[in-house]
Amino acid sequence: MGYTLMPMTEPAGSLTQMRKGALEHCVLALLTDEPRYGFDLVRRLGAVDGMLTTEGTIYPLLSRLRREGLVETEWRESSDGPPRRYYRITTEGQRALDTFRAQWRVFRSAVDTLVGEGERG
Amino acid sequence: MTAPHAEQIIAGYLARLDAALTGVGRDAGAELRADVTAHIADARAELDGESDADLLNILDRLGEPSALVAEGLAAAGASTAAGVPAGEAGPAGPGSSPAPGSTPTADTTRLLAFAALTVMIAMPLFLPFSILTGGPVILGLLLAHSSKVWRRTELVAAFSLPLLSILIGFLIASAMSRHWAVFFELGMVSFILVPSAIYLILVAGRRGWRAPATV
Repeated sequence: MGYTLMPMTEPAGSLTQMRKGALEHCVLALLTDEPRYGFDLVRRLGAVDGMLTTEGTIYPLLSRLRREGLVETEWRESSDGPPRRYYRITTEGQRALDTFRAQWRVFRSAVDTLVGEGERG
Repeated sequence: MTAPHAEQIIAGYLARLDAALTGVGRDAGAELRADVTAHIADARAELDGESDADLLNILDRLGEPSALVAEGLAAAGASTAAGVPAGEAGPAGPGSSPAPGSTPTADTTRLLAFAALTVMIAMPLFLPFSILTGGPVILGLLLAHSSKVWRRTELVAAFSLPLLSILIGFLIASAMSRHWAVFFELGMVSFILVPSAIYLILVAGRRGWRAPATV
């Protein structure tokens, strides 16, 4: 059946896990101003280094967010080509984002304090 | 301006995507395919004067088709495990094969695993000397299965002997006097169920009470 134990201690793996957890909230944050279509999100996430290594993974992520009711979609005509699927954040999505923001602040300062990179002192 | 081999390059990518989508729910597959097609069109529209290399770069950044499909299945599994019903057009519709990531959260997993072991060991002690002993053991098996901590083969190894011996034990015990039957069943429980439980604990402990990862 091809089972193996999960590698738990790879640094690259932990970065992937962290990015995964943060990515969906970054997507929600990008949608707070206005509805956006998939490639637009990819472009904006791509502008920030290290956020989106495999662009295509955004699409399964978006469809999960929709199933979880955090975003909703609508088709809109585009001036140059076929209609595009736009994603809009829902009230529930906004709530999830607010919660994440609060937790992230605490988490970030906790890690900064503990890891600290030996910058201070 | 179209790249010299644009058609072949894109068709090749989409063919690999289609191959990776085999067995994924039709709606989900169509959705991912449409997203990917739109992505390629949008990315191409941004180029002025595309070359074959530009197209290959777009596809490289997009990712391997099999990785995208795996991601979709994992995402579908994650939301299903979180109690969110799979939508009509999710990456993995109901009925498709379980996703590698379709495990309950760590806490639920452990709780279910411990409940399984408790039910399996403790309950038969309160219900000895009858075929009823099989009830808690089957309940334990179901709990153990839903916890996903153990592989199917491990569960078969741990539970087939107890269930078989409960059946045979009942047949033998029913031929004995009630007094002896109690000892017989208690002995059976301690000699067969306890080793089975110890085996399950050892297997799960080695994995840190987590579901085995599929790769």
